[in-house]
Formats: sequence, structure tokens, C-alpha cells
Amino acid sequence: MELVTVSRAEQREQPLSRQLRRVWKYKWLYAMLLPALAWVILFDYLPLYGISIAFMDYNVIQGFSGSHWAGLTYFRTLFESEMFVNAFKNTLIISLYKLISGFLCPILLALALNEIRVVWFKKTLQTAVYLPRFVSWVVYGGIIALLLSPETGIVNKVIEWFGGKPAYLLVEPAYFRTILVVTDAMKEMGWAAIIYMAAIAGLNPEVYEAAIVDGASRLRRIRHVTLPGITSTIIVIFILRVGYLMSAGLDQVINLYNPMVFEVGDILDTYIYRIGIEQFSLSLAAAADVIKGIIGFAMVLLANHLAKRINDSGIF
Amino acid sequence: MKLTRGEKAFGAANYILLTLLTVVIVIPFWYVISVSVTPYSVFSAKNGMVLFPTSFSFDYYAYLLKKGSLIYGAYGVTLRNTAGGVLLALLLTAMAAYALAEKRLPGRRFLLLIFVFTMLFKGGMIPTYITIKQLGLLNTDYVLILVMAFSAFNMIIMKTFFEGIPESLRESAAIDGASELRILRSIVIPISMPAIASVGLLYMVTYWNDFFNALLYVTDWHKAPVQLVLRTIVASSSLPPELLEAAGRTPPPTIGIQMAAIVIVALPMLILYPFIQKYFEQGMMIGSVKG
Repeated sequence: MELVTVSRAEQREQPLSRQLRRVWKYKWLYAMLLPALAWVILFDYLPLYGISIAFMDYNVIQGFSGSHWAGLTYFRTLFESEMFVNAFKNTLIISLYKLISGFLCPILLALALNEIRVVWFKKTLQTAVYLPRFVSWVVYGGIIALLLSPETGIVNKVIEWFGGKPAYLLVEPAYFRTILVVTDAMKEMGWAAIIYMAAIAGLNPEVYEAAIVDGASRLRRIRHVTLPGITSTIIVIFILRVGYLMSAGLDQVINLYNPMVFEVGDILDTYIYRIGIEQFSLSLAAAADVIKGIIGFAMVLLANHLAKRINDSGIF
Repeated sequence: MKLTRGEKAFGAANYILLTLLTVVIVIPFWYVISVSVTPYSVFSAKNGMVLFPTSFSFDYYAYLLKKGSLIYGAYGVTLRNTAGGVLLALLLTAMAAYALAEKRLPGRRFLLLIFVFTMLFKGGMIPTYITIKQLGLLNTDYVLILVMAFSAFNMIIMKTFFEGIPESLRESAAIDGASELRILRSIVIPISMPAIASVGLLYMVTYWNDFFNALLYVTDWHKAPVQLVLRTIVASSSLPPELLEAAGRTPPPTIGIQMAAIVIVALPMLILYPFIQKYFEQGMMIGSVKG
């Protein structure tokens, strides 16, 4: 315990033996850390080495050592490939749409739920809106396909009822992105609202009481008390979402798209899957992975930097 | 508290909109169940409008759950992966979180950085695939258990929780002569049950619902989890030949089969989650303390 009182400056001057004794004291904690460390080395850091195949003519049979270096050939091929450029563009567009809807919907939902005073009703609504979070995109995709089916789908029934013409919605390029954005919001918004509900619950009730005494209406209380109170939460979530900008929703898209909508719906992840796993052009697909990773990394750093300047609340 | 007319209208509109939203979110699930128990003749006669089943038939379920069906094996794989995976994941996550929650641990900042970095930059799908292949894990029984067994994000949720445990509690036990292991077993773990439950349940949903890792790493149908089998049933309108073979007859109309399969796969989580919902909420809240 006496080690606690040693100041930082003194720590640096400690002889090696004392340092080692300090480390030895925590041997059990290091041992507990070991399995997780081994896991990240195997499944997170070894793949970083695997990135080198993007710069090789990688051949599965010859492996790393037997494959020749290819320089930037595959990156050049990518930028000349119409399909890659298309997937890149779609990723950004779909992500931006989702960034807006997937970011605003949960905040609005949390604010609305917070205004419900009947506890059992609020609880019922919450349980109901969380529901889709607990099924996979395979399940949800199957459900959506049923709802949107041309002959028997409910959505087409509603369209007809309003005097519209029924259509095979999932193969129509004009609707595909809208379908992605709406179904993503339906599946995730309830769950994403929890974090804002938690932040709202943590606000000081006295401020509300003061606002009521001052005669602030409900809308005013939301605008001037609730919203400012959860700003830092909103910013952190926004940063996290910006960091995911290069991932437009692989699980969702791969379960909903089809060749008819590649033009508007193919994203980097689905492109990488098709090229790399289905067509086995591993080096080309890995090059796309590298581009995706670097831009994604830059996005997180940028968003974090901005958040620190705006609100002094970066996440690392 | 007196409400103005505007506020009353606002309150009423809020109730109505939220109820509508909830209906829009829940109806699809209800509809799927309804279609899965409606005979095809009724389904097509009503042109798909079977929001409330008028006649029941469990033919689709009987067909899918016929003896020797591929679904049984796949369900077994999913159950095994989920049970084994959650145990392993909790062990890895809790141990690392506990160690890193100790503020005096020499090298703590560097070690933490090693974990945080994995959330920021990833090797990507193909480099990871190559790594799994080189490690000889492709198509093994335990590949899916292993690849999902740790998430730095969940580790940080748990670490935040452990950091909240009062120091004095552990110190007094240490003074009483309890060993590190003993402190962990009889003090830390019991008070950490809410965090362990919520993180464990997050892992559970991940394991149960995963299909993409299976799509990448498992090609042998006998090792495929149930989500992957479901995908072949719903993604292509034609059934996988294995499933037909197992059933040994021509399939009834596929839409009902698809919906029955969806119900079979999704039901366990849908039944469970209202009971475990509070742990999920707790987990999110522990996580949000950090923000």
C-alpha cells in the first residue's frame, strides 16, 4: 500500500528492481488480462498484418511468402472499376441518410417517451419499440420482403388504397435507399433511444421545477432544459456514428439487396464480400478494405477533434 | 399543475403518434406469426390480408420440424455456440475489465490503448478472413465461438462498472486477510451481477443472431447455425436442396414456410427479451456514464 503515496516524479526515478517489484505485485491482474490480450492479438492485430495482401498478388496456395509484391496495382484497378466507385458512392450516400435519420429519430423518440406520464403505458411502448433489436437482419429482412411483396404485401395494399400503383418495391432502384433508411430506423431507433432516456433521467429535477414555476410550457422545457442537458450525450453518439460512416449496414444490405438494385444499394462491405469471398479476388477486395479502414479511421479522429473543440467532450 | 389547451393538445398528439409508431413497429411481427399459421388456400383467397388468422394450420411447422430436418442440427449448433460463447466471452471480458479497472496497474494506459485501438481501426473482412484461414480455424466447430468472444466496447462497459465499486470495500477485505481471488469471488462478483448480466445478454444476442461470421467461416451445412439455414430459406425463394432432401417431398408453398422458419428462429429471443430488458437498459446506462 505504501506505493500509493509515491509521487509521479519519484516513480520515474525508481531503480529497475523497484519497478519490477511494483509490476510483480500486480501479477495476478496481468494474468487476468492475458486471455483478452491474446484474443485481440489473434483476431484484431494479426489481421492488420494480413492487410499486406492488398499489396501482393496474393495466392492462397503459395501464401504470404510465395506471393509477389504488386505495389499499388490493385488500388489502381479499384479506382478504375466502375463497380467499386459505385459502391463507394453508395456507402457515403446511404450512411449520410442513416446518419441523419438514425441520429434524429432516437432523440425525438426519447423526448416523446419522456413526456408520457402514465408509467405502465410508457413501459409497454418501450418494450414494443425495442422488439426489432432482438432479431437478426436475416429475420427482419425476411419480414420486410413479406411486407413489400408485389402481390400479397401489406405495403402495396396501402399504396393501392391511397390510389397508387402497386410495385415490386425491393427491385425498384428508386425506392431501395428509402427502404434501407426507413427499415434501419424502425429496427434500431427504440434501442438507440435508451441512452438518451438514461441521460434525461439523470437530469436534476429541481431545474424542471424551477422552469415550471417560471411558467415555461412543455415545449419550452424540452427546448431549454432537456435538450441542453443531454447535449454532451448527443455529441458523443454523433461522433460514434460519424466513425461508422464507412459501414453503411452490411447485415441489412446483404439481406435485402439483389442485382436489380446494385446501382443504388451496393455498398463497400457487400462489394468486398462479393469480390473477395464469392469471386475469390482476395487482393483486390483487401485493397478495398484498406481504403475503407483508413477513411473510417480518419473520420473518427476528425469527429473526435471537432467534438473537443465544440464541447470539450471528446471520447478519447 | 394546470395545463393550457395547447399543452393538452400536445400531450394528446404525443400519445397518438407514439401509439401509431409502436403499432407500425409491432404489426409486422404479428403478421408474420399470422401468416405462418394460416393455410395457403386461405392466404391466397384473402390475397395475403390475414392480419388475424381465421383458420389455423400448423402444416408449415410440421414440415420444417419433420424428423431429420436440417433445422434440428442447426438449432443445436446455435444453442451450443450461444451457451459456450457467452461463457467464454464473459470470462475474457470480465477478467480484462477487472484488471484494467485497477488505476495503479503499471502500464495501464498503454494496455488500455491496445484495446481501444481495435475499436478505431480494423483489418477488415478479407485480412481477417485470411487470418482465420491461416490459423486453421475455417469450418471448425468452434470458430464462431472464438471470433465473437471479445468486444472492447463491452469490456469498457464492465470496466466502468468495476471502477464504481468503492475501494474501501476491497481494502477492508484485504486487511482481513482475504486473497485477491477470494475478494473477487466473494465481493466483486456478487455486486457486479447487474453488469455481468447485461454484458452477458449483449453477447447472447450477438451469438444468437450472427449470420455473417457464419457465412464467412462455415461452409459445411452440418456446422451451420440456424440463422444461416434461415437465410437460405428466406433469401432464395427456393429451398436449399439439403432441406428438401431431409424432408423427402415436394415443398408446400414457400411463403408460409419462410414465415414459420422466421418464427422458429426468432422466437426464443422474442420470448426472453421482455424479461431481461431491464438488464439491457442497465448495461446501456452503465456505458453512458462514461459519456
